[in-house]
Formats: sequence, C-alpha cells, structure tokens
Amino acid sequence: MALTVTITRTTPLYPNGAFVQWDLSGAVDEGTYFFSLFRSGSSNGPWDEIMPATASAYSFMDRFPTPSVVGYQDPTQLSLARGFYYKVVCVPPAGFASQVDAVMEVEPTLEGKQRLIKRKILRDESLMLQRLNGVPVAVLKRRHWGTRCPKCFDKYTKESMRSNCTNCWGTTFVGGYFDPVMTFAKRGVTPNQVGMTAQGKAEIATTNVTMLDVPGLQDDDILVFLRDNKRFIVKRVLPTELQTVTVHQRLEVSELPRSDIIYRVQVDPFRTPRLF
Amino acid sequence: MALQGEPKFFPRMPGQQADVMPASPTAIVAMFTEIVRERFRPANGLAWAWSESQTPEVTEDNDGYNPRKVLIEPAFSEHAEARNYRPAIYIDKGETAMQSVAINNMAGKRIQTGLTGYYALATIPIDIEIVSDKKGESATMADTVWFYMLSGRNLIQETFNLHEFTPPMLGRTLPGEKDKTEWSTHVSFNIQTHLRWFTQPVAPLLQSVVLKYRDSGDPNIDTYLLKQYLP
Repeated sequence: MALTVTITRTTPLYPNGAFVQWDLSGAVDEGTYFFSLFRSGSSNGPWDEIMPATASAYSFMDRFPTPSVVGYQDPTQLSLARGFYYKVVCVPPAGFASQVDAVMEVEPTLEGKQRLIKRKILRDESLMLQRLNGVPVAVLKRRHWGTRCPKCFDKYTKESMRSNCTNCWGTTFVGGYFDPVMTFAKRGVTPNQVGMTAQGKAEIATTNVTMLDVPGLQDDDILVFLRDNKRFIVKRVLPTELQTVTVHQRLEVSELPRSDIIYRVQVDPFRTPRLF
Repeated sequence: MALQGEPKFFPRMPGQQADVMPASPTAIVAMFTEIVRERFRPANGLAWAWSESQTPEVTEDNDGYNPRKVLIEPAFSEHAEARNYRPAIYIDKGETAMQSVAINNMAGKRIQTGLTGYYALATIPIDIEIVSDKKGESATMADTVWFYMLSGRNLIQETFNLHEFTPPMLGRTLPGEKDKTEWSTHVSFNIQTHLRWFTQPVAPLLQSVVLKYRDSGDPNIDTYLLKQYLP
C-alpha cells in the first residue's frame, strides 16, 4: 500500500482560525515522519507555510491573525464568503523524494453513504463537463491577504489609486491572484445587452456557469474560458450542497470589458499568447 | 464646415461643425471636453493620458512613464466605440437658465428703424463625471480635474468670453453597478455666457420701401423692385 496522507478534518473556528487534522496510511518505513502544513486561498497555491516540518504531528490549530509585518495584510475570517485551503506535506524517513501531500478546503466532511453519493454526483458531473457540455476554464482566485501593492495602494485610506496597476492587477495585493486552477465548466449563452447611459453605450453580458466544487469560488474571482479567451467576473455563487457540503457550484458571472486589466493576466501562454 | 470670420474670444471651439451655434449645448460640451483633454495630455506626466485611440497599449503601466489611456468624451456619446471603458471622464451640461440684467432685457433702441437690441445672461450648469474601477482612482482623478478647473477658470473665462465661471464643486465618490462595480465622482460648476439678440419691426421697413418707390416715379412696382434688387 502506497504512502498516503489524508486531511480528515478542517473545522473553522470563527473568527480566529481553523483546526486541521490529518492521518497517514501505508506507512511501512521505520523512522520519523515529518509533517508541514501550508495555507492558501486557492487549491493550487501558492502556499504559505504555517507549520514548519514537525515530527509526528497530526493536527494543527491555525490561529488568525499571524504575527504581522508592515505592509502585510493578514488573512481573516471576517467575510462570510472567504475560503481557505490547507495542504499537508508528509516527508517519510526515505526523504523528500518520497514526500506526499493532500489538499482540502475548510469544509465539513461527509460520512458513509453520503460521502459515496457526493462522489457519484461529482463523477457524473465531471464526466458531463469533460465529455459533453463543458469547456476548459482557468479559475483565478483573487488574493485577499498578502503584501499590499507598494505602487498603487494608499496605506492610510486603504484604497487603490490606480485601477490598471500591473503589479497587483487592481487587487491591491502583490501578484493579484493565486495560481490559475484549470478545470471544466459549462457556460450559458451570453446575450449582450446594450443600453444608453450617460457614459455612452454600455454593454452588459451576464450568464450562468456550472462547475465542480473545487476550487470554491467567491465574488470578484475571475473565470478565463480558454477556448475563446473571454474573461468573466464572479458576481454571485449558488452552491448545491449535500448536508452542508458543496457538491457543485452555479455562478452568476459578468463578462469583463475588453479594456479591463484582467486581460493582461497571463493564464495559459500556450493557448492565449500575451499581446496586451 | 467651419463658420467664417469667427471672433477670437467665443464660447465655441474653432472649426466646429457649422450648425453648432456659439454657447449652444454642443458648443459648451465640446469646449469643456477639449479643456479636460488638455489636462490629460501625455506630456503632463500623469498616470493617465488621453488619446484619440482607446485601444490599450501593451506597455501601459498606469504610471507617469507608461500612462493608462483615459477616455474623455461628452456624456451620452452614441458613436464612441469604447464600451464600459474605465477610467473615463464624461462631460455634460444641465438645464440652461436665462438671467435678466435689464428691464425687459433691453439694451438699446434705434428710433428711426425700430431696431431694438437685447442682452441677458445664460447660466449653464456643467457636470464632469469621473468613472473608475477603483474609488481611490476616481477620487484622485476627480481631484485633478477639480483643481485644474479651479486654478484655470480665469483663463478659461477670458479665452472663451464667459461672463462667469463659478468655483467648481468636488462631489462624493459613489459606487454603481454595471458589468462590475464602478465608482464615480462628479465635478460641477456653473458658467454664464452672454446672450445678445435684436428685433426689427417689419412695418417701418416696408414703409421705407413704399416711400422710395413713390419717390422714383416708376409706374410698375415689379420693374422697380427688379431694378433695385437684381444686378
């Protein structure tokens, strides 16, 4: 049996942190197993180390806020929508080459039959999206903590003075977004509603998107549809849940104007070479 | 087509389409659109620069060296190709009100012909809306426009022969929903332009023609008029 680490529990302890617990199976080597714990706002990272390599640790209490440094915004649980991901890395006695890891969002887990039902629904949905009506999409999870942008962010008013800053892509956090997560999603048609306003002709194209449970999306996250390079901002998330556990997500999204800074964020250089 | 012989100081942009009368809504909006565009010329070193073309540059970095293009247009522009473009500045004009400065607006009268001259002032509210994705940016750009108007109002007043240019007011920055949340700040002020017109009664003119005809001794009125008015 191969060495496997599994996160068995992630319990939010609002508003001060989360409790993370994990288990190891298939551990046949004799010696010390080291575990490290990382936190991120996206299932793909980048990850912040919150527990350095520790021998035989199987749980961790992640307390917010972490010790702060100047120009750094700590993560908080003060928004109803904010989601966190944890990654456990296990280094066995054989060394780093054999390390294993597991990623999980802060969410309750299902037991027994419910777990299997969720798995079945996810499998069916995944097959439908991959083979039938889904298209490849890159999910850009917006950063909500990290180093504030030194170029456009005013530390006193806590406002961005330049919406097209290429340092933070308008998010006020250096880097702007977490690493893109490639997945599949079903996008509805996007009728372009043109209306006359004081600001000239305004175009609004909103539609619905259906996708799997990971990564969990929040308002202001970005979806990049890789086939046509159209980019959408998430306005509203309607998750379908099974005993409070998200099974899949329905999103209300709005297409971004072509002049938006988001079109400069490089997602997949092979599909969409950067011209602007 | 431009109007011929335009005076130097005039509430109208030189070379504007001939149907646009001085101090008319289109003339006033065009005037302030050009004035605001002048502030956002690339050479001014701002983080935003106005350009005829709104297609973003690859090198744009939203700083003084590689400024972000800003859209500066009259409000309700129906032919602009840029849609939902931000940051943007929209210039509009409110309801024009006439203000009397003399009884019955009369400036003078020529007794012989009945020619009467009139004079009044037109008060025109101007609204400049600054729209951005970010509240801070909208407020900062609005502050730039506001102070530019405040500091340059004497020069603008002289250049375009405006009677009055009230100190501009910088409004609150408020959110709005479109394709995504946008922020807008208004800079508003009033200008006053001179209105001049005259009326001339037709009866004294006709009387003058009749007297000249009788004095000519010509028996036929048609031939008399043809002689008078055809070369």
